[in-house]
Amino acid sequence: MSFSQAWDAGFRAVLIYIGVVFAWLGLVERYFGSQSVSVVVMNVVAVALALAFFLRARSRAVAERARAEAEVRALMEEAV
Amino acid sequence: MLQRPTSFATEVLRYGLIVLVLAFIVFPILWMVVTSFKPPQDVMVSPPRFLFTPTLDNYVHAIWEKNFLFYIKNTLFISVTSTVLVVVAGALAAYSFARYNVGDGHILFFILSTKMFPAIAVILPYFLIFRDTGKTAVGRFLGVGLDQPGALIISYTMFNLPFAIWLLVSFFQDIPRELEHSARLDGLSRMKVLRKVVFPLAAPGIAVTGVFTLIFCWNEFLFAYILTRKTASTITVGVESFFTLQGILWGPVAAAATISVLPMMAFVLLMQRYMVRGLTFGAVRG
Repeated sequence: MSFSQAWDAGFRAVLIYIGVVFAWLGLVERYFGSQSVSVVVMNVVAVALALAFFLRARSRAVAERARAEAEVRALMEEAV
Repeated sequence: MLQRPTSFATEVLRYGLIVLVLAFIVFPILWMVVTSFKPPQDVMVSPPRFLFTPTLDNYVHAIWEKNFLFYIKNTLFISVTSTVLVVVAGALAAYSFARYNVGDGHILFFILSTKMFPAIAVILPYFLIFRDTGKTAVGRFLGVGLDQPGALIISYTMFNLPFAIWLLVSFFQDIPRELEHSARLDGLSRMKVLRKVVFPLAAPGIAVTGVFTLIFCWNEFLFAYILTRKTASTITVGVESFFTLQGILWGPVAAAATISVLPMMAFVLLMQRYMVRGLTFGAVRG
């Protein structure tokens, strides 16, 4: 995964975290008896989703790179 | 495997520097978002508090008590209308400059020269013009007067048009003339050539110009502050309205700023692929 891909995925992961916070505070928190428990669960869910997004983006980037390298290798072998 | 090998220390130094620069850019945005979730007692404490109970109270205050959606509606209408005008007029003007060399370069330079003075230099004439135009029947009919959307649409169009023309000229210059000649030989009129050959080829460039113009219009403050009072105010003026005589409502200010940033951020992320394609369009000249 290149640095720019990591930055892009990281920035989107932060946006996902913020989005989860928005949705949680507006829609889910009212169903919790304790606010502190809600905040802890919210952070766990937000971090898990953001991390899952980042890891998915990473595995996609790695697979894409491997595919591109294989293509280039095949072309170089053809040329030889 | 296919990359040139570099030492570990060089890589660390390079990426460390990039992270530092990017963190410097992103930090204010994150600070704004974090502040928007803080309860009032945690906003201005020193040292800053990073562990707090998040709340949507600031958003409720901004949206319901200050009616911030009204500012967003105004901004959306003014920005989109102005962007459409800029892109249409800019594309036609840029095409004429790129293909027919209208004014032998002098008019093109003159257009750019209108970007050389600061906005504050023209704000007084604009204010007087729109004040007087708004009093006439035509001005009232078109909504071109003080505190009316037409005044901002015209101002933004006039101010963004030079930038759009200059950006688009280079895109049109990169399209081979032979394609247009072939289309003309096939029997297409000049306008059809423009519509069916030139504009589709320049679409990435036109999209980039549109995105940049929209961002400029969305974030503009000076014209909106001077030319509007209440009915045509935009989000930047709306955020400023939280600076009251009693004090600055930092929480609602951050919430309002976050609300105003989110639509543009979502739009730019959606358009990211096209923007990169547009910015690299014509990067290699034959």
